[in-house]
Amino acid sequence: MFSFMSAPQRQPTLGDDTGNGGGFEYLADDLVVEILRQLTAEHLWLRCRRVCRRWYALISSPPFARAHLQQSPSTFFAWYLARYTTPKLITSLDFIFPDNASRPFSVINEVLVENWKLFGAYPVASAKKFNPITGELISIHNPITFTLSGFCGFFYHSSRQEYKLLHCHRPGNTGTNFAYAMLTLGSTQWRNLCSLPHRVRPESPPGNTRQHSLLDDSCFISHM
Amino acid sequence: MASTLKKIILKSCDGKILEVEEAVAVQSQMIKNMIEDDCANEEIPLPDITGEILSMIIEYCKMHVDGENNSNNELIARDADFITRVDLNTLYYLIVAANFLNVKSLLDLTCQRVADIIKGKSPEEIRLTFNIKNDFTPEEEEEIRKKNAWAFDYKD
Repeated sequence: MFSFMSAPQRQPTLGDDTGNGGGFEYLADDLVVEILRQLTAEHLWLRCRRVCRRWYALISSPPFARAHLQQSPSTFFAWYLARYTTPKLITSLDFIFPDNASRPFSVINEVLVENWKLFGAYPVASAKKFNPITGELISIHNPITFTLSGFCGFFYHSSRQEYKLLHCHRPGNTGTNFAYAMLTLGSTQWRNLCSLPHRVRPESPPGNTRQHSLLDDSCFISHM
Repeated sequence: MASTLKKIILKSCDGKILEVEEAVAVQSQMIKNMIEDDCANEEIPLPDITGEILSMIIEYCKMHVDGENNSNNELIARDADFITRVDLNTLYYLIVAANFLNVKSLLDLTCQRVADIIKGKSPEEIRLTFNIKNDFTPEEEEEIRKKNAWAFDYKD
């Protein structure tokens, strides 16, 4: 009835401070996943995946991506401010959390469900989405030319299990409203959501931010 | 309250008998279920958990029951103090035991601790720390490195 370890004979050594245990092999896959899913996508993909075949297989599997996403804190949104003089550089990257009631997110919270990192920079029209699990590569087109007041976020909608992009910009030079549009990854059509008199406000990220998507400075977006 | 004084008797795989207050024991969802199903009147054998590991888990559960009225920050500080005293070898056994006994907060704490140790390390440092064998062929390693280079950054 109580059998949960493949090698129960091996006894733990208390007080061994060499810090060098050989015990990973005694952990079942679901427990290794439990540990690894605490880490950022970037660290998993760049480093952990290269540790050994077992970790590679676990991290590359679709169930792992799901487990990793469930681990995420509630939605937050990042935005960038492109610098005109050196357009390749992202000068500002901040995060906002919708769980604060003073934020405008309640209005559009059907979109903002999971965390993300960054989307947008020059020239955004050339951005691509890469899914490392399926190897799929899709070009993403903007709903409108990015301006200094425009930005774009990348989200995972947990109930629909879909990735989405949310774009926000101030149309024209005179308007005070911000227009929001959404794109479900895999489709090509942006859907206009609504117009609001405010835009999302940048905030500092927490210490343990988990990242699920990454963008390098040549506008390449990828996620897992 | 009479029910909080009730003792649950646990027996480790190396024969150690531990009497635990019910309020502490029910931190384990597994034991809680056994009590609800009226299966915890006799000693509960835990064939794969040593006395040492079991004592640590009980210490942890007791800490959480005693600290129920403490602030969140205080509990986090106590958790941190508890987990940093645990060496890596013991951590594995705590993870497996916490998973088996279904003590969710301890499972989270122990897994987070291992993840914290992994954090910031290179693949080679991770292998050394956890004594993991690199079983990739050089060709496979090169293949993964190439994939990483275009998917994430060009520095690695």
